[in-house]
Amino acid sequence: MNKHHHDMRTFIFITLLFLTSSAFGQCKSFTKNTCRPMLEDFVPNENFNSTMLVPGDEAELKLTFYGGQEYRLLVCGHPVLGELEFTVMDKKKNELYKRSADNPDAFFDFRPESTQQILVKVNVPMRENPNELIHEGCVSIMVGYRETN
Amino acid sequence: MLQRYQLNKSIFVAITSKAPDMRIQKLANLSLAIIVSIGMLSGCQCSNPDSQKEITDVETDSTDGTKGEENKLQKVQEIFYTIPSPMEMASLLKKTGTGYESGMLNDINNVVKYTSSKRQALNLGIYGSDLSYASIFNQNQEAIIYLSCAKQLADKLGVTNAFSNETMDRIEMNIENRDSLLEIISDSFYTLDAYLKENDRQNISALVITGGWIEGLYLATSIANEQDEVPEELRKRIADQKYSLGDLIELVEGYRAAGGLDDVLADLQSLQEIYEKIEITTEDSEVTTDESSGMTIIGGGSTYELTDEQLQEISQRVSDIRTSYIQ
Repeated sequence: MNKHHHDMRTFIFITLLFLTSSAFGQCKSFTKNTCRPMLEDFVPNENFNSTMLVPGDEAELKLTFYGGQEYRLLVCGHPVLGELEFTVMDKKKNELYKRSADNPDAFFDFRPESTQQILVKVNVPMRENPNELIHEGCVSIMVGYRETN
Repeated sequence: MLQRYQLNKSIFVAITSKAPDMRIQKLANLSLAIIVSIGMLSGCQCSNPDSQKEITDVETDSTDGTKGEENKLQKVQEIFYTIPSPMEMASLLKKTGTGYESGMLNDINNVVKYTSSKRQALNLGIYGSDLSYASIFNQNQEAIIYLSCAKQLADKLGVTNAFSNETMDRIEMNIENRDSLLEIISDSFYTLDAYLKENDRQNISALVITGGWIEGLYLATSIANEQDEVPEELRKRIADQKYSLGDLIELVEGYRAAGGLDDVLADLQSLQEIYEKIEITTEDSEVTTDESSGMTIIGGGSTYELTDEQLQEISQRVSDIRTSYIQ
C-alpha cells in the first residue's frame, strides 16, 4: 500500500470517527422518532435508557414490574446493528422470554401476577465476517405500562 | 490503535497515532476543520429535536460510522438503572379505590424558594409526581398548575425543551383527553431525562427521579394514614416499593461520583433499613398465556407481609425526608 493511500485512510478514519461520536448525541432523536411509536398505547416509563453500541456489546436493565399491570418491553436498535438478541429473566435468572426466529418481535407484552424484578439482557450480535467494518448504532430499552381494570 | 472504554456509563474513544509527517499534519488539520464544521451543524440540529433530518443524520452517521477491522475493541456492557414512573405509581393509587387528596401535594407557592440546582431537581421530581397524581385523577385544573411549577423548575435547570411552548400548547388542547394528557406528560419527563443524561448531568437526573419516587411513596403512605382500615391493595403497593427502593439506591450510587448525592443516598438507605424488616416469600416464576387476550402471564414472584408498625415507620421516615426536600 502506498503512503498516499495510507494517509487518505487515516483522514477518512478520523473524520468518520467524529461522525460516530456525533451520532451518540443523536440517540435521543432515534429513540423518540423510531422506538417510541412502537410502544403504541402503552404509557412510557420516564427513564431514558439508550446508548450507542457496536456488535459484541451488551446492555442490561433491571426493573420492578407491578403485579396486575400490563407491560410492553421494547428493545429497539438501529438497523445497522442487525437483529438484536434479548432475554427476559426473573430474579433467579430463570428465562421467561427469548427473542428468536420463533419470537421475532422486538417487544414482549406481559402481565406479572405479582410484583417482581425482571432482568433484561440485550446482546448486539457479532458480524459473521470478522473483517467486515464495524458499525455503531443506537440501542434503546423502553418499557410502557397499560392501565387495567 | 483504537480502544473503547466505559466510564460513568459513557463511551469514550481514545486514539493514539504515530508521529505525523507534513502530509498527515495537513490531513489532520483538514479533519479538524470538518469536525468543527459538523460540530456546529450538529449543535444547530439539537435545537430542533422534532426535525426529520435528525433521524436521517443518525442513520447516516451510524451507517457511516465505521471503524477499521484492525482496531482492537473492548466489549462494552451498559447497565441501565431505572425505576417505575410516578405516573404508574399514581395509576396504582387510583386502583386502590382511594380518593383524590389535593391537600397532600406540595404547595405551589414553594416553587420560588428552590434556588439551588439540587433543590430544583428534587422538587421538579416532586411536582412531577403531583402532576401525575392530579392527571390520573382527572383534576385537570390542578394538573395545569403543577405543570407550570414543573416547567419553571425545568427551565431553571436549563432543560427548556422538555416543557416547550409547543408541549404546553398540546397539553392545553388535550386537557379533556386524559389518555393524551398522560402520554404528553410522560413524554415530557422522558425528554427531560434524555436531555440530562446526554449532557452528562446524570446526578441531576437521579435527583429528579428520587424526588418523584419519594413523593409517590409519601402520597401512598399519607393516603393509608387517612383510612380507618388500610385497603389490602394499598398496603401491597407500599410494600412493593421495597424492590424499587433497592433499584433507586443502585441508580443513585451509580451516579454518585458526579457529586451532590451523598445526603440523598443516606436518606434512601435509612428508609431501606425499615424496608429490610419486611418479610418476603418468593415463588418460582411460571409463564403461561391468557387464551382470551393472548397476553403472556408471568406467575409466581414475591409476596410481602407489611405490619401496621412497619407501615407507620415507613410513613414517618418518608414524611421526614420529603419535608426536608420541600422546605
